[in-house]
Amino acid sequence: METPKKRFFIFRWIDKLTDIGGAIAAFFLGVIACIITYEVVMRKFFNSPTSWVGETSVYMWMVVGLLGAAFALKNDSHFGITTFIDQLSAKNRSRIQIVTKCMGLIYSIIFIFKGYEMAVTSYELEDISSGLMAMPLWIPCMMVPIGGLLLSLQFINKIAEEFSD
Amino acid sequence: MMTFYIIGFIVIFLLVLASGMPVGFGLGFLAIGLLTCYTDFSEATSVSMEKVYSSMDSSILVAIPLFVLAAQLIAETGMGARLFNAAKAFLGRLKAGLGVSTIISSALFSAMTGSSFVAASTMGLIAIPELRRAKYPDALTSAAITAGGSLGAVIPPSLILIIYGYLTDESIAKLFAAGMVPGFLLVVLYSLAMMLFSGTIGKKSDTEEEASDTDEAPVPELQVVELTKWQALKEAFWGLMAPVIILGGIYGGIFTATEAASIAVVYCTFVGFVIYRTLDLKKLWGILMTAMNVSAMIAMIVIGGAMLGFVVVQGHIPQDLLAFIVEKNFNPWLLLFLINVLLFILGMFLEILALIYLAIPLLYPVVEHMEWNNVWFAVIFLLNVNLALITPPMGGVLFIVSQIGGIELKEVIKGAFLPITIIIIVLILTIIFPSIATWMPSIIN
Repeated sequence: METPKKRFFIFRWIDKLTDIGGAIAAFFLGVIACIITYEVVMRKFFNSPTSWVGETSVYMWMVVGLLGAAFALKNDSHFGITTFIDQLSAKNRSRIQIVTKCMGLIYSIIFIFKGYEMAVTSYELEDISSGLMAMPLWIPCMMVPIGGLLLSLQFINKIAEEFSD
Repeated sequence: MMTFYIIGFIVIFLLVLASGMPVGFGLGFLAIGLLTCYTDFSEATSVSMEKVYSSMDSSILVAIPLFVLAAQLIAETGMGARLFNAAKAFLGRLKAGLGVSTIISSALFSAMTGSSFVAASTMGLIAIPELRRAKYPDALTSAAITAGGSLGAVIPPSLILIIYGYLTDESIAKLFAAGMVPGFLLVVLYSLAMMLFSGTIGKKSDTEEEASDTDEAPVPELQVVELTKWQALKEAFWGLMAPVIILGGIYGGIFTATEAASIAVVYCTFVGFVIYRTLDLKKLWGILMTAMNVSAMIAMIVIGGAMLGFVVVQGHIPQDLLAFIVEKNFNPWLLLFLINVLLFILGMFLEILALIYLAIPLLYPVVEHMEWNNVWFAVIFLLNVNLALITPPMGGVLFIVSQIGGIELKEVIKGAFLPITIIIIVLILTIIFPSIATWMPSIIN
């Protein structure tokens, strides 16, 4: 790794925000393991299964996946097949990177607007989950636009990085 | 006409992936693009967002981040290294004992986690320096690690089988059971192959001699120590208990795969903090962050894959494919042969999750139509996915071994031919004798 250049403050803020999203996702991942184990213990040893663990764990997995996605992007952990573009010259590779990152940005922006629309519809229809919890579904739905927002910002960050190199 | 569509689709698909775009985003972007062709942009994006939500809304998939987390814990707490030590203490005297130890400890590791990548990187970090010291040629070292890594996906629990079960609505416990015999066969054959090639140990080629002079010890050493059998077994005991709890729990009907994964996480954390004392809060947080990172990557592929799967069905591609097969009235054996060849070729180029999400919506209707046993087909598919992991030019495990071992990719690929051959042998055996896959599930029911 080369020494990190001093970057424009907005981009540093984006990285901070991404890190916060990642930290929340990691925290929830730990919580999932704890609550599911709690459920097994309650069911097996106390014969009193919980009504909320199954559902909650799924919502938390959405948090892990959607809020963590931007963090994984920041660390370049999203698996891509780079064998072909590695053969290209640095300049051409950078061009292709900019194109694919713009595609990623468009994809993420769709998450923000259409995901928000989905959450609003769900709120207006007063959708609730079919389980015993009766969770208002707009809450987990909101993970889609929030995740999309973090991803979009991070994609902008990555595109800017590509241009500055 | 139909062939034209399918070929066109596959070409675009490969182009998007070859652009280096992250797989998850590539699949989703392609899906929204294609869906826009069928309907309009607003409709396409709305439907896609529903797929984002519905694809994640599954308690089966919750097992994925948990098994990833468990794998990280096993690696970081030193459980993996202790397993290797134990295997070494017992098998070290054998011809090619270290190689066989690598295979056996990888198998044990795989019985706790479901990921080939984590298995290959963990066992690689532990075993490569040892194998080097014992003067294993680079190719044989790579053979041992790639073989061991490929067990990660076969021996239950297996992330691939979890996703297969999720997509085809098959019982995960049954699928896990189906992976046992093929996994065992692979372990035996890998070990025999290690012994067979033990003659090459100690004979390094000139180029390797030079290479090893220049970059001595590129890999960090993990706690690999000489222990007596009893000591090693005592050390590894807690690690050995993990598969017992996980698999025993699933097959004893005590808990589901997802619950087993949670318990594995809590168990490993407990062992790391209390028994091995290799964990502290800071390290645990780091492990959580790493596991979250990997899980989020998988989640994006799950989302993009679900969108693309939906588009494929909307475009009537599976239906047309099925109609084509019905019309041509293929011989089932020929069909199966063609499917395997197709999967093998796709596997050479595709990332495995992309392969699963592309192939299952296309092939599952065929499986149903031909009245093939889904569990049997799952194992055939699984073995093909395994090949995809280690076949050049694009085998994820190959890159990992090359990277962490500081071994030239050329040598890694040479070594990978050993596990590739063996997996193909097991694949052919499974096709000819379906009971290899179906026997265990039938007992467990």
